[in-house]
Amino acid sequence: MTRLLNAGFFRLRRDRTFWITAAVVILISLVNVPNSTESWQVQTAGSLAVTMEEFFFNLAPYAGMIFAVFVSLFLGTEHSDGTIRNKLVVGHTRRHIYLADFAVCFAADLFLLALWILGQTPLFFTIGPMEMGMTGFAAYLAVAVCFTASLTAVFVLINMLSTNKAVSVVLSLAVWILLILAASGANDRLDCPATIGGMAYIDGEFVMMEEKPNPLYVAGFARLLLKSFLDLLPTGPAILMTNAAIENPGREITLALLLTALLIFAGVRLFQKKNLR
Amino acid sequence: MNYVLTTHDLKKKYRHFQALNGLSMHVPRGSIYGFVGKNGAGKTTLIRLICGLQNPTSGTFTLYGIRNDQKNIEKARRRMGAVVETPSIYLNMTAEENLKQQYLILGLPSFGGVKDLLHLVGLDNTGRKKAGNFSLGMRQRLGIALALAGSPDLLVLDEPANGLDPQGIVEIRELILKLNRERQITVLISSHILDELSRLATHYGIIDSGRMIKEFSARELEHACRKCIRLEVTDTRILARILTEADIEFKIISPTTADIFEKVNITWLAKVLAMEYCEIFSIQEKDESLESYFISLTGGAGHV
Repeated sequence: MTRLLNAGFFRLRRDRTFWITAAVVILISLVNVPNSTESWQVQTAGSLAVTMEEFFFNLAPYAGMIFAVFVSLFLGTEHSDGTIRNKLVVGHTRRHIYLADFAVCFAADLFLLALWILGQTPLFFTIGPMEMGMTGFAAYLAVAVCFTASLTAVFVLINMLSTNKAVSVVLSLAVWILLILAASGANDRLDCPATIGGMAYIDGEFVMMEEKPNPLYVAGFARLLLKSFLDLLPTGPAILMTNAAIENPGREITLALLLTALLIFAGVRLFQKKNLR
Repeated sequence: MNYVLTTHDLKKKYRHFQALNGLSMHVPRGSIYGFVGKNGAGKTTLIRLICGLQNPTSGTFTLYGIRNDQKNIEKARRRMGAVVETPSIYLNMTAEENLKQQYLILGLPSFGGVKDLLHLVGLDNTGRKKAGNFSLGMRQRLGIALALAGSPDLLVLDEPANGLDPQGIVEIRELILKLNRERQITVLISSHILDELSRLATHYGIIDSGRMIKEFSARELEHACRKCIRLEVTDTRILARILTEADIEFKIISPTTADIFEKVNITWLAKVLAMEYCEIFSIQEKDESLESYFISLTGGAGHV
């Protein structure tokens, strides 16, 4: 396995796609700084209570898209150029090949994640410190590392089982969009207030409306299930992170690691049975 | 005989298509084994099974004495190198980088042999040119270099001459012969170009519809395809007596047919046979090649 890791990192260092992806990540991250700063200034001028956290992590959901593109291009080459055969022919086991590919992709995705975080650091100077403090920030970073692992596991599974590079890219992006839509949908339902009321402008007067139960509010056991579903989705923590709404980082970390282990286990089993060309 | 690779009743089924149907073959150590068959006969499927790219539906194969269902089959695979269908190379890397990558996969302690390997396959002057810009022949040679990186005892080449120009075909042939003679590497080679294969192979296996039709050595093929005159006469016993007396080499095929392996004066032969009341019905010069031998064995339908 060490040999496969050495070979994987050797290739990663020479992979143009990786460096182009890294440049794109740092560029997007840097461009986000003046945009976020301006937005923060406008909102605070309008007496809106906004925190630095909401701007710092606002790109989190897009990390999945970057990972999807990178992993499918990087691993897709193994199938399209047929180089995965060179590993099998000389006696490497499929389990080791899968695990080594996951490890290399995870390391690469972590590097991209680090670039995104680094690119956002000027916000500390333009907006100010975070309200959550250093411990909270470290916990958020740990959640980011874990959702990087689970998203990488999703895309590695797709790409180790799909032998067509173009199909892999499309499939990975499609899965990412589905995961984002599912996480956003679940989060929106969980964000719905239990009651609706507020003020209405009737006959030239502001009238206080009577509070009514919100039909969209998910309550009881269904709420617990929906919350677990959101937490379990690899894109769930990223969506929560955007609004700085992670209540229990430990739970997010545990679920993400559990999902990663499950996806790797399933991926290895399926890859072992796959007919390669 | 000492075999590097044997298969026993090997079967592979893809949904409704039976690609291999009880294939049994024997590749002797040190041989260049020519694996011949029509399109879809199952040649590449067999190579994929041996290389571990796919698993057999049933049956077994043994590589260096280790059966495919044994745990240490991966260890046996470390002694082989292969080029399956197209060369497996990273197109965005140079030839040297591709070899270094393979060295790392193999866990070799240094890149010391890279230059020698590039020289062996004639790619030592490619410099920083990416493999994506290589000609088909150069890619094929790089694929062979990668297969040779682990100093294998068995080299598996699937259609290595496919798409190559005549010069490329000669180069690959010379390389395979060199590897076999100088490094004693056993080579299993599948090819459509039977004439080319007949210049290389020491042993042959003819496969059709996933089954082994016949295995034979080059010597046996030479014997079977020997240039001769085929005679059809009323009684080959009389012919045999006359030829034995004249010390001429021959072979009786049937009570009325015989092959004569030497140049013979037909007028003299017709005269002495007439004197013995033995009539000649036909005389035919026979010069069989691997191609015609293959067609006679497989029935000639489809494409080779």
